[in-house]
Amino acid sequence: MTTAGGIAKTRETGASDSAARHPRPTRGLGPLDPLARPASAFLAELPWEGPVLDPDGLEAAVFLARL
Amino acid sequence: MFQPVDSAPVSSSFDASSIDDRTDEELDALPFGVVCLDDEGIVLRYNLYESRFARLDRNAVLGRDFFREVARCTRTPEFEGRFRAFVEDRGRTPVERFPYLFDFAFGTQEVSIELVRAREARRNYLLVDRVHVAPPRPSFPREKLAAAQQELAPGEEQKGVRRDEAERRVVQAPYTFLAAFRATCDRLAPESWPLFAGEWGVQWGRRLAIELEAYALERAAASLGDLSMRRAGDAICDHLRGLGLGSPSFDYDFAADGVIALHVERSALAEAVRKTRRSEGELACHLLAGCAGSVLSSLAHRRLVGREVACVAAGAERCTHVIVANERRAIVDQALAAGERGFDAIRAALRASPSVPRST
Repeated sequence: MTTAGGIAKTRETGASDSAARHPRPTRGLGPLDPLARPASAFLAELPWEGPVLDPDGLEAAVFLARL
Repeated sequence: MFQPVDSAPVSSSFDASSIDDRTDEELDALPFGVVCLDDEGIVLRYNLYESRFARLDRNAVLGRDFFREVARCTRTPEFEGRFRAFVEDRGRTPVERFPYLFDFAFGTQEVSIELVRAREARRNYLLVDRVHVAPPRPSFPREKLAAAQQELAPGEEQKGVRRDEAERRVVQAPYTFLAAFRATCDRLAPESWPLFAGEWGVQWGRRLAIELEAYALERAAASLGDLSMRRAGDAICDHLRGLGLGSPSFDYDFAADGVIALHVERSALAEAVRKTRRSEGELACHLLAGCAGSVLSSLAHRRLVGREVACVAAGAERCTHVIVANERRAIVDQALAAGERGFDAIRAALRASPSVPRST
């Protein structure tokens, strides 16, 4: 989920490491079992439209709360 | 052994002193704990995330001495001492950051603390980010453990308060309660149900995201977003199924098109309509659609929306929802308003939009 910096950085390291072990997919889905990829990474790479909110930002969380 | 955390501060990407400007609802949406103390250490504000992880009801905490009544494990030079010095400093040091270990009867929590001074008031904020949760330390003195809910509010059960294993207050309601609620809406404001129930779902989903984050940290020692997509999706569905709302399952077959489907068998919301109105052609499960969109928004770091596109109440074999980017909401809504129903029909409408990515 959206975290506001801090520990999120630590957690993201794990996610990034995991992502690095898998080749980046061409269309947002992994090569073998895309659903085995971290949920945030899987969802972040799907072809949604619209802006990405800063995953580390308080403003992003508040933005979501106000929508 | 407790090791200091090595991570960027919670406040690294925003003006931390602005936290005092946030409404209680906004604080409840944040994915980290927020505790506001006055200069004496009395709790003034306490957000949902902190309430969930500390397993304390906000109402039992507000107005209490944080160091002596609520979090006795923080009555140390390393924590309370820092706080007192921070208050004495009167904001000359805007942010103080340190790692700590919370000791509860139910377990320990390795946290990263940031102390933030409000700009124009004698209020101080503790921003609490959970790093790791673990079993209790057997050697830790019991009298120094953080308070439990039953200590702060004894005898609740005799007063009709029920709590689950995480000390969340719960209400066990029969199915007829839900049916009566829907029937009331149909009687008083029948056109308002989609809007009302959808927004209810969005609001609920924001809170559910915090519940699921706690679930992931406590049971899998990882943030929900770091679980595999399959496992995170299953956690969401298991939670909804456990509430008795039906049996949901995500369908990611067209995720590459920017559309995720959520199918629901035996939806309680849909069956409530059938029992009360016996109407046809009506979508009924906007609550679940809003909730699913809201939870996935928190994982995707984008504003996503959920819409029900097929419903048992309208004669479908099962209920189906789509989750799409907020920017494509109008396409789905227009198709639904034109009478289109079912995942294939909505997906076709999305594909017909020039800005929609297409799979091969």
